[in-house]
Amino acid sequence: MGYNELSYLLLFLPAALIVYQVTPARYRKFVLLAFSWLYFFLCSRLLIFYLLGTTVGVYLLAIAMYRVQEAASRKKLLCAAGVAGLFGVLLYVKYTNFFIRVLNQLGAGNSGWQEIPAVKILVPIGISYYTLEAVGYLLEVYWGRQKAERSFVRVALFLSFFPQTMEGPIARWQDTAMQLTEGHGLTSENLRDGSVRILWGLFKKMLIADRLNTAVNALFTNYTQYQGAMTAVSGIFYALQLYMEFSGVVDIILGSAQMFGIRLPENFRQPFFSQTASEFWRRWHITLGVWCKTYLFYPVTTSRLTMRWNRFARKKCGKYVARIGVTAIALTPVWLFNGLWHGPQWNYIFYGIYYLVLLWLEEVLVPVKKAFYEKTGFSSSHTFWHLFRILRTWIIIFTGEMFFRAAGLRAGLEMFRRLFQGVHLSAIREGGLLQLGLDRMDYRVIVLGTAAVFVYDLMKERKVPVWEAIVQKRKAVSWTLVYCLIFAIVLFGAYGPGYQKVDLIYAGF
Amino acid sequence: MIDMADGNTLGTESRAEKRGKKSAGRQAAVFFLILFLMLCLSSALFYRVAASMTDSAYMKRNTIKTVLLREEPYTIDVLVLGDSESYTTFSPLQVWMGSGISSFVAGQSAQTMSEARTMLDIALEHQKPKVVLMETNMLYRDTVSLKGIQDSFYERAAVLFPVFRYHNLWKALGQKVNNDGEYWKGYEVHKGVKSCGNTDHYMEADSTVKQVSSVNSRILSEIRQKCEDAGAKLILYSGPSTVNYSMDKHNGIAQLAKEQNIPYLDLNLKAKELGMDWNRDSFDGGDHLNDAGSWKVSMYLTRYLKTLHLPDHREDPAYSDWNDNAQSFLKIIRANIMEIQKTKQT
Repeated sequence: MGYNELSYLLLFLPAALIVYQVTPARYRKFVLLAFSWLYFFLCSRLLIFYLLGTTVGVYLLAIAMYRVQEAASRKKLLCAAGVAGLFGVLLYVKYTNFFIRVLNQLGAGNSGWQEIPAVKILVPIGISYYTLEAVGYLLEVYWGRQKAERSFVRVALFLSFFPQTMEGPIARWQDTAMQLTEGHGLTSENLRDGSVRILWGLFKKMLIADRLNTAVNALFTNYTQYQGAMTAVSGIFYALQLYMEFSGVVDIILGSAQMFGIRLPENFRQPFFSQTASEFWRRWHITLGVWCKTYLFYPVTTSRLTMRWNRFARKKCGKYVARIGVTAIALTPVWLFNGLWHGPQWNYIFYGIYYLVLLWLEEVLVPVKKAFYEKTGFSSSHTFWHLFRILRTWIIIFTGEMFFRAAGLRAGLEMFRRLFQGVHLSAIREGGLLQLGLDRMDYRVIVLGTAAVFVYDLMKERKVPVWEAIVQKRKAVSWTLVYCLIFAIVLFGAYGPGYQKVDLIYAGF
Repeated sequence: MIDMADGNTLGTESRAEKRGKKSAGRQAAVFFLILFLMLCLSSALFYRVAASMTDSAYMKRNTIKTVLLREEPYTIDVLVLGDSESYTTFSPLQVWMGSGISSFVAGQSAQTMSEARTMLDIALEHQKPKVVLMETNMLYRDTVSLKGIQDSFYERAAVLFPVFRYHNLWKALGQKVNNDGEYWKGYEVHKGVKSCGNTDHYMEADSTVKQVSSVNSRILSEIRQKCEDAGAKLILYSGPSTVNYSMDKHNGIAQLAKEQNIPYLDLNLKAKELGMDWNRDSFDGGDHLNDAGSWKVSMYLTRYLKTLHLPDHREDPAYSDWNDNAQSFLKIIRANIMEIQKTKQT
């Protein structure tokens, strides 16, 4: 039951809202939990036991850690056991067959190697998301930044709140846990604002992302038929599809939560206005970035090994080398983790390494950038330079997404090679785009829809509170805009005959 | 005093809150009422456009609805419902040539039971069929999972607001629309050949029963009731398909047919009698029949329909275009069957 489906939007969510509202305030948390577990059960059936096991385990471990806080070594042991257990389950369900495949490939050359058969393992929905939340909570308690939670319902809701189940955002305990059990009643403002946010998400997903899906499938399935500009189009289309889909679904998620008066952390902040790759990652899938920064980057940066290296390098090689060394040490686990988190495929791992190298190079080239600014008089706020840096970041993003979506690393590398073959726009001009299952009308919808999203993002980038401004206008204006949004989705949405149903992309990670 | 003042303030706030809630409720009601009216209006508009369009480039799988609506009122005696198995096994113009019985296949690719129910409703607005033949493959279409429930939900919404079904027709604005396609009374012509491969286990004896979901059983019962109310006889039939049918399904359908007192004809059990050549009679490896396969099935069904004493309209001037249509159709089918017979086994 995807968040964009009728069964969720017109049945499940309204039912949850009604039952929540008619229940006395102190019992509302139980309603939210019941609906959250029901949602999980409807999506993953008996695999809900993974979630229940994780919830009970994390709840008890946190309390145990809190009780032995004076005994540092026992506390450490409990935390390590918890983190290892959580990641162990994630590794088991998602990576067992990947490791079997790697072992079989390594052993294939040796005579007498008996191929290990693949194992059939069912993966519960959202395990990549709730596992990170659970690990985050355990580490917060271990570091003493949070008390172990006594309320089982709060821990359970934190790990399973139904709008977050499929695609996050990956919340930290301090972001959401308390709100989830407050049991505030529904308000007309929250219902209105949440509904509009859901509509905006549906607009992005159904008009643009789902329409682009046909072309993206054609481009990546038959990648050997394309080169030059058309291969570049593959990366551009997929990046656009992914942004519209993921940010659109996150809008639906945040809108759903807002209807209950719950503010989930934002996951996107106009990523296509980024001037560098590192800025892009501060604006794209923000909660994964924050999780990695909080629970991987900082611990590694402040680890004894890194500190020792820092002292040693500063003494022997100077500040610059020390800094880029520390950056490399801290970034490596973050980006390997980021790649692996997306799934057991080499192209995801490559995708992580790709950004690792780019972000590290950004740090390495800081003195060069400084010297360039001094010589040319440019600065990051200079309009031309600003636009140039945005375009450069787009190229980085499109290339990265091309590897990310490719059918394996080999296909990704082949597509990259093909980018530089037959580099002329004639393939596009001569109707190449019309061979991808989309007609001119489809492209018009994509262009107009993207333009609408661009304008909205631009206003947000300039700190214009778009929706708040609309609400303050006369009712006729705000209602007309909402009706336009609804009818844009109804008329121009890519659904019904002639369109394939597109599953939520990030629900698969 | 202070308490009283506080009490008054609280009381006032509470009244204000109540007024606010009432006003918000009223506004919401007005908002949804306007939305409802706009949906009704746009639905009427799109339905009107759809009713005049048979270009499958825009109408996709809904084309057949318009084609059905274009049939002369009260001329169809046999209405066929079903998914793609229906329009690749039943050929109305062949039945016409052999018996003079007027029939129409209102099947759609992947038609669900709820869509079949809607299709029957549409047909009954302008036709009064004496027999409704229902191909049974859709009885096993998923209804229990969320997807099944959702499909059913979408179908209900599309019946209420046809704009959901025909929303894509905006694409035809300013475009050249081709409304002159040949639809052969719903039959789909196929001359490709793809062998079914090993058919040793096809309809192998098996006493297990594959149950039809309760949702589909209920819709079947509704369809039977609608047929009864319209004075039509509902008959179930399973077209030969090595991919879609097996003995456990046969048992399930036979059991359901018995429970609901509906005649059931499984042509998979008569494959030998029909003379099916599984190396040549399908265009996609046993899933669907090509023109050679459907010719054999339609011959059998013609004989079967004749036993129901349906009127022969071949001499009726009101049906003169059926004879012309049938001649054109026969030409194409003959050529296709000849081509199929020449095709080497693949």
